Formats: sequence, structure tokens, C-alpha cells
Amino acid sequence: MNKMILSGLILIIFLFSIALFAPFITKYDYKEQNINLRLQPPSKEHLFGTDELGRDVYTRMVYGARISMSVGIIAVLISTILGVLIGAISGYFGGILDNIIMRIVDIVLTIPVLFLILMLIVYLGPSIFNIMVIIGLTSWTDIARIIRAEILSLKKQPFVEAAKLMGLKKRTIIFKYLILNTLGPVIVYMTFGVSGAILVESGLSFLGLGVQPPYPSWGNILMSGKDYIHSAWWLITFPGIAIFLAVFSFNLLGEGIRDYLNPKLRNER
Amino acid sequence: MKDIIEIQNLNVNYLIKKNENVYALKDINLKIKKGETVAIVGESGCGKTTLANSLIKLFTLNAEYYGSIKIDGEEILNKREKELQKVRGEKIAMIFQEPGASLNPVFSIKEQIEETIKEHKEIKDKAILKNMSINLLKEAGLKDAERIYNSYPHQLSGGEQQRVMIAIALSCSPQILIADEPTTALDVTVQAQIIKLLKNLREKRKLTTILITHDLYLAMELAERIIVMYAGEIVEDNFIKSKKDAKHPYTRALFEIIPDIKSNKKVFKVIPGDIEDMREIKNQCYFANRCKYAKKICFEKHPGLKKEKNYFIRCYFPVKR
Amino acid sequence: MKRYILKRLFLLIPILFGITIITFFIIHLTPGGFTTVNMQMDIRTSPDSIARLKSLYGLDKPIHIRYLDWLKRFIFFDFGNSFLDGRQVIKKVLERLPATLLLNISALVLEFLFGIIIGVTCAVKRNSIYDTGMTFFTFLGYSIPAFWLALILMMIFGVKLNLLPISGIKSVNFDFLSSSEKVMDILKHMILPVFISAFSGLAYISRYVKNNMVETLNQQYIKAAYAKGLSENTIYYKSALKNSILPIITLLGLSLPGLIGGSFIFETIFAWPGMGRLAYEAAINFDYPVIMGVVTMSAFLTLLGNLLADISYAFIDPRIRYK
Repeated sequence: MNKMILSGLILIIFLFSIALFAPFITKYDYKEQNINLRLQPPSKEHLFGTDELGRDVYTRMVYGARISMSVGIIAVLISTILGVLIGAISGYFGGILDNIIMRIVDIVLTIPVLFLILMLIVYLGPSIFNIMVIIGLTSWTDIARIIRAEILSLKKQPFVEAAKLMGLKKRTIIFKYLILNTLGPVIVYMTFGVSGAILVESGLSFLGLGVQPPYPSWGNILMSGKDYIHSAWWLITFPGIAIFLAVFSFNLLGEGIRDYLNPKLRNER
Repeated sequence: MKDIIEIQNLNVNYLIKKNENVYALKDINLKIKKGETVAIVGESGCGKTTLANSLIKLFTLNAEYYGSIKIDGEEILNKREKELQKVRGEKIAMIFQEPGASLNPVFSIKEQIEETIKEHKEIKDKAILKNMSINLLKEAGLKDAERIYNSYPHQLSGGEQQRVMIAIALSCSPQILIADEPTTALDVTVQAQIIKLLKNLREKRKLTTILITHDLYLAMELAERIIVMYAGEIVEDNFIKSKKDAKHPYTRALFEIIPDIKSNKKVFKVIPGDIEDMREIKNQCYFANRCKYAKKICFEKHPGLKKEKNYFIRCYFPVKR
Repeated sequence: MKRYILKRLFLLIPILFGITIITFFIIHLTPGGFTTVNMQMDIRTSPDSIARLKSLYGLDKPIHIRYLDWLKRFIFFDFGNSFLDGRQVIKKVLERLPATLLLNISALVLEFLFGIIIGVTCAVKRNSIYDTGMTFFTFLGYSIPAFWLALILMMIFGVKLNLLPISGIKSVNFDFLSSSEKVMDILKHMILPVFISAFSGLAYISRYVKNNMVETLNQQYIKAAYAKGLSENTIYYKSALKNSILPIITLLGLSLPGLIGGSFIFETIFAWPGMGRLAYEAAINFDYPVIMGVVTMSAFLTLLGNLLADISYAFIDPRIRYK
């Protein structure tokens, strides 16, 4: 296939494997504190050094992969399902329903998303589950708009008229004829959505509003890094590289798929 | 009479995949005299638009071209972009099939006519430019020139848009005008007006005119010399006024398939078979599969373009009757 | 066109109300909320004092009554007083607004400026080494977490090299500096946050511009422009550019919500005294009046900005202007 999809997939599989085989590639417990060994630079014993409570950074990063990636994926699943349904219903039924839904979308969009997430987390409590749901609930608007636009244009196509005339149930038309045809952009959206969600989760954890210690997240390791910026460069460097790799790989995959789905050879002047 | 256009052994192919080419033009040889009117006729995909584009060296990024095209004695194919700007618009002008799509939607007609004049003739005076533009629009048959001058493309009808295109084309007094399917996207009544306009203009300005069309009767309306193309080649280059002048079986067939309004026949005639796959070069006549006069040699050896009396024909068995 | 503007202005009102309602209900999701956080932690506090505190802040009334109360004051632009320090909400918001706008508008200008330049040049030189290089570079830009980049650069420039300040908007000795030195001081403080913010944003813009430009260049009217014998400069930077730039206005409109509240992560890292940080502190401390004030004002400014963007678009695109 094309290079971007391939390299993106390789990186993602690499990251997944690390997350999956976490117990096999680490020797410490991510919770294990050791005050004597706090803030140690990288060494043979501690590959990425230790944090302010003496925990092994490498171990926390490996387990953090599990959390960061799963939050990303589940949040995207939630937002995609929500967005596709809402967009499809809005586009298909049109009229007042469409207007109301679009106004709601406008409302959600007008409040800066990050701040909305912040409020929801503060008021619902920052658990891993809550974070997944909240990120999912606040990022469905983009895909809803895209789906709605696609459906509006698909609705006019003759094959949809034909389906209606044949007496197919509305449900069938919406799912089989309309939504399935929008699969391409949805997959692209989901891929980029994962990288976006990982960024959001890391950002929140970084501010102390995401995954709470002792659970490890790349973002909350960076949180300690912020406080020890003058002394512990390893607390900043390694988790950041991990986040970058994860985001980069999903972006790469998304770009690759998007290019692949584009009208292939455009004879440019 | 001098040859204003001289094409020799022109070959153009498009690279569509790694080792896959579409051979759009194969060995085109053609001479057009100054002041002549010529119509290039053929089905979609026969290469006529590629030929037109080649005359102003307007190729897509994946095109490969070989051969020679001389405009007024000067070789075009080895000119660089900057040099081509002197040819395009000034020596040769072109109008296209969909006039609405050929006008930039976010600029007014005024800006689009005047930018051409500004770049070619370096005239900056606003009053002069406006005067020239209005005159051009009037010459193109637009009586309401002032309104059109200040309008935007989307506010005009198809016929008006095409006349604007013609005005723009004439703005730098070119010697050659290429019209690529100028009326295909327009209503039939407008079609007649545009053709009439083209006839007047070529009289007035002594234009060498090249009309590209798939409509045989339209071609004969405007030109006496008809060049018929098939599968990227010229198959007949002749002065045709009616069916009996046509010598190539394909040209004949083109006449035959046009339904006769007076006949009682219930079934339309078609040319059986499909157009050749343009991705292969074969050593045979490309029309042979569909030709009712084809014989063994037609499938075994590629016929060359032969000169007979005052016409050219690419066929072993031209229809003589 | 006039009808269009009026219709949009009209819609502004229900949207604004919708926002206030949603926000109000969200912040009251936590049972107890303000009093819980601030009082019930201390077991010595008697239920009596808690009840008195609640009634003082009006927290004992049912939620829809509370909302109506807020609405009544809101109509007169009275956002009440902060729970944290008792000062007027409007004052608190307005004193933080300039800092946020300074940061975000500078970043916005830079990211659009460079985004457009890079996008256009990449389209013109498409498939060249420049194009591939720039595309990769911008791709990195939106894959790197901005807050991490901030930390790294802070570490390098601020700590190790000690070149740039890493916190706040002005130095400690600000009041003693001359006018021009004051300006320089603020600029120095702006460099890191603005640059990082712009860097992350420009990637998306440049690719959007490039794609638009490439699509435009494939249009028939560009082919016709070549046939007219226009110079390539004219074709790229006049004929094609105007068509590609129009959608940018839409993009500008979409960037508006972030202009006011979206930078709170940056403001926190750089201790920038902006509205984002104010909102963040208010949220964590359950300071409801301030939150409502911030959200409402930023929503209003955003809606206004969107309206302006839409009107500009309708004005500039002749296809809409002259219907």
C-alpha cells in the first residue's frame, strides 16, 4: 500500500505491543515508591530515571501507554458513534429537527472545547472512565457536521430515491445506503481523532485534571517534570517523546488513508 | 499562401501508472495555411483536445511529447514558459467548451478582459482599457456591453459568457483562433448565433480558424476542410461538403449514424464495436474492428497517411463511390 | 445580504441563552459544590454554618431559581461578585482580557501569515523538495504536543541558556523600566508562548491552504488563464490566490472560540495572567459567578467574531454578494 499507511501502522503496532506486553518488559511495579532513589537520572537500573517519589519512569511509561492509548481509542469510538448518528439523523430528516440539532452544535462549538472538558472533569470528577466519556462527549461535532453534509448531498442521488420507492425502511436507508457510503471520511476522522484524544488526555493529565496518580499517564509524568524543570530533564524528555510517537503514528496513518481515498491521479497542469 | 501552422510527427502520451501510457496522439502531421478554416472532428477521446492544447503547449504534468509544432515558422515545443506567453493570446487564442467554468468566478469581466490587455500590450491607462474592452464586447455581439463589463461571470447567461470568452480571445489581435467545442454546452439557438459570430469575425479579422467538435454538420457549417480523427490519429484530411465527399469508412459511418428526420426507420444506426484501448500501440488499422470494408491487411499492417490529389487518407480501401 | 445579517443576529440570542443554560447546569452538577469543597472538608464546621454559608451564596435555592436570579442580573450586565475574593466579576474578567488577547491574537496573526505563505508556496512548487520538506515539517508541528514543546523550549532557552523569560508577562523590575524598555520586556515574555502556539496551529492552516490552492489550480479557468498568455506570477498570485484565500476566512471564524478561553494550558505553563488562567482557577475552586462571567463573555465575543467572519466572506465572494 502506500508508505504512510505502512509506517503509521508499524509504529502503532509497536506501541500496542509495548502496552500489551507491559508486564514482560518491565521489572518494577509502577506504583512502587522508593524515596532514597528519587529523581535519579537514567541509568542501567532505571532506564529513564526515577520521578520525585522514586518510581521508575520507564515502567510508568510502559503502563502509561496502556492508559493513554485506550483512553484515546474509546473516546474516539464514543464521539464517532454519537457524531455519526446525530449527523445522519439531522441530515436525513432535515427541517426543524435539523435546525435544532445544528443550533446545539453551534452552542457546543462556541464554548472553547478545552474549557468545556475542564469544567466537566472538575464537576464530575477525574476518573479514567470519566475522561474517556467526557472527551468523547465533547468532540462529536466535527464528524456530525461532516456526516450531515455528506448525507445531504447523498440524499439527492438517484439511488436513494430508488430505495425509497422500493419501500425500504427508513432505518435501512439511513444505515446501509447513507452511512456506509460515508465510511471513508469517517475512518480518516477516527484515526485523527485518536491522536487528538491522546493529546487532550495528556494535556489534562499534565494539568492534574486527567489520569490521577498513582495511575500512570504520559501526561502526569510530565506534570512532575514541570516542577523539576531545572533538575530532571528526563522527566520531561521521555514522556514527551512517547506522546509524540503515538500522535505522530496515528496522524501518519490518517494522512495515508486520506491520500489513498482521494481521487487518485489528478492530472494537474 | 504561407503555412501558419506546421505539425510534424507529433506524438503525445500520458503517463498514468508506472509503465502504463495512454497514447493520445500518434504521428500527427498537419499543415494549415494562413487564413484557412479547418474543423477537427472526432468522438470523445480521439485526441482532438490534446491536439488543440498542444498548439499552445498546454500539457498536463504527466504528459510526454515528441515532434515539432511550428507556429508562423517558430518552433513551439522547445519554448519556455516565458517565451510561450508571447505566443498564447497574441498569436493563438483559444476558447473552451464550458464558458462558465473558463471564467474566474471571483473577478469581474472588466478585470478579466483588461488583465490580458495589460499583460500583453502594457497599456495602463484606465480610460483606454475601458474603451478597448467595451469595443471588444460589442464586437462579440454584446449590445449591453457596459452592463456586462461591470458584471461577474455568474450573473451572465451561457451565451453571454461565451461571447465574453471570444472578446477576451480577440483582445490581443491573434492570428489564429482555436474553438474547442464552443457550443456543446449551450442551447441550440445560442449555438447558431455563436457560429454566425465566428464566421463574421474570421471575415473581419482574417483569422485562421480551427474548430474542434464532435458534430459533423456543425463542422461543415463553418469549414470546408474537415480533419477527421480516430484513436489519436488523423484518418482523413479532406474538403467535405456531403457524405459522398467522405472517403474514409469512419467518416462515412459518422454521416450514416446521424438520424434522418424524414425517414421511417425505427432503429438508429450505430457503429458496432468499441473504441480502441489507447494504452497499446498496435500494428494494424485502429478502426479495422468496426469497419465493414475491412480486409486481412487492415489487421496486419498499420496504414500510413497517404496523400491523394488534394486530400489525405489513412486507409487501404477508401470508399470511392 | 441584509436579510442574512439580520437572521444571523437574531439567532445570536437563543444561542447565547443556550450557552448560559448549559454552562450553568454543568457547573452545578456537583452536589454541594462550592460549600463542599471549601467547608465540608473541615469536620469542625457545624452543619449550621454550612447552611448559613449556602444561604449567603444563594446555594440553597433550587437550581432553576438560581438560574433565573442570575439571568435577571445578567440582563443588566451584572455578573455578580466572585466567591473567592468578592470582587466584581466584570472587573476580574476585564483586567485579564488584554493579556489573553495579546497572546492569542499575536499567535493567530503569525500562524495565518506563515500558514498562508507556506501553503501557497508549497502549492506553487508542488512535489518539489521544498514541498515535501515543508509538508513534513508542518506535519511534525501538529504531531508534537504543544505543552511539551513549551516545556522543552523553556528548559533550553529559559533555564539552560537563560535567554528568554519563562513566566509571566513582565519582569519583576517592570515598573522601573522606561517606556520602550517596558515594551521590549513584554515582547520578550511573549516570544516563547506565542511562537509555540503559532507553530502548532500553522501546520493545519498551511495544509488547508495548499490543498485549496492545488484544487483551484486544477480548475478550467486557470487553464484558460494559461491559454490567455498570462505570466505564471499573475496566474498563481492573482487568479488562483483569491479563490483559495476565501475559505481561509471560514477557518478564521472557526479559530475564534479558542481566541479567548482556549489558551489556558499555555497560560498555566507560562504563568501568563490571562482569562484562560482565570477561568481555570475559577473552575477548580467552584467560583460560579466568575465561570459564568468568563463563559458568557467569551461566547458573546466568539459569536460576534463568527458573524463578522461570515459577513466578510459574503462581502468578498462576488457570487454571494451579487446574488
